[in-house]
Amino acid sequence: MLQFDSRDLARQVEALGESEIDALPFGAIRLDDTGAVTFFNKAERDLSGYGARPTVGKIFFTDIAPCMSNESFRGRIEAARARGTLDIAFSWVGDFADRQREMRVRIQSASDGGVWIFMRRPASDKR
Amino acid sequence: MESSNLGNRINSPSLRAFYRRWREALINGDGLPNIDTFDAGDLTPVSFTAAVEPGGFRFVRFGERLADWLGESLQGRLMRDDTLERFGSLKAAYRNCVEQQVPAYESVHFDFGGGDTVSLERVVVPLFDAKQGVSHVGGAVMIEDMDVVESDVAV
Repeated sequence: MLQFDSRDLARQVEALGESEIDALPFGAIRLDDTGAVTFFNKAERDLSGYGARPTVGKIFFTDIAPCMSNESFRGRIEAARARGTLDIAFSWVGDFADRQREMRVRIQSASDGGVWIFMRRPASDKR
Repeated sequence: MESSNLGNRINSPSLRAFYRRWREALINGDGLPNIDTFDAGDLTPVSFTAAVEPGGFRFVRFGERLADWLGESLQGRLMRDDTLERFGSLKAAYRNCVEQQVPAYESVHFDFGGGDTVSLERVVVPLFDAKQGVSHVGGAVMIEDMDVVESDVAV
């Protein structure tokens, strides 16, 4: 059973077929090495309401927090992405009508040089 | 107006104290946590205040250690509100504070490989004016950077 918290989540997802990725109980988006969205799974299409807007990568790499957006830090992100070792775990509380809910995000290097973004929303848990 | 278990979610004791100071003001203060009286305490160097303006938020105070980390101060800078960037962004946290009048909490752990990691926690709280409206948001950020020897807790 694939676990959202698995250290090698991206590799496990890449081992699945497209229909299996579509069936995952959490969102999965793949960006290429330019940051363009190349894949949305069904859960993400159903739950996010974000469609195919290509701003997702920008948000995570430049807009998570202005105080993290310095040149050195962004360089470390890019270097890790280039090495294929990037692993970011992000969670937040309070951006929902039910403020007790928590959204969790994993961002991991894809084997092709891009990145995977996995999102587990509160609604995902009910699937 | 309160996330009852939010305090238990915050890992940093200092950041938890910041949140609890706001909560104490909310519950036992003379009024709602006020922009003129709310004190970030020990976290002042890693905290910020932003005023709610039409179309965005303007930093009216930006802690010196945050500025050191970023390489510049954002004081005076307007962050334009963009609904496309609602996705966990700081602006989303700000907007949430204004619209829902509740705190927002984020944590991020970056693992770059080879033991190079950075962890960030952020709490953003609504601050009220004399008319009991949310006029500002206040926040504090704790960053633990394993690549920066002298910075073991804060920015």
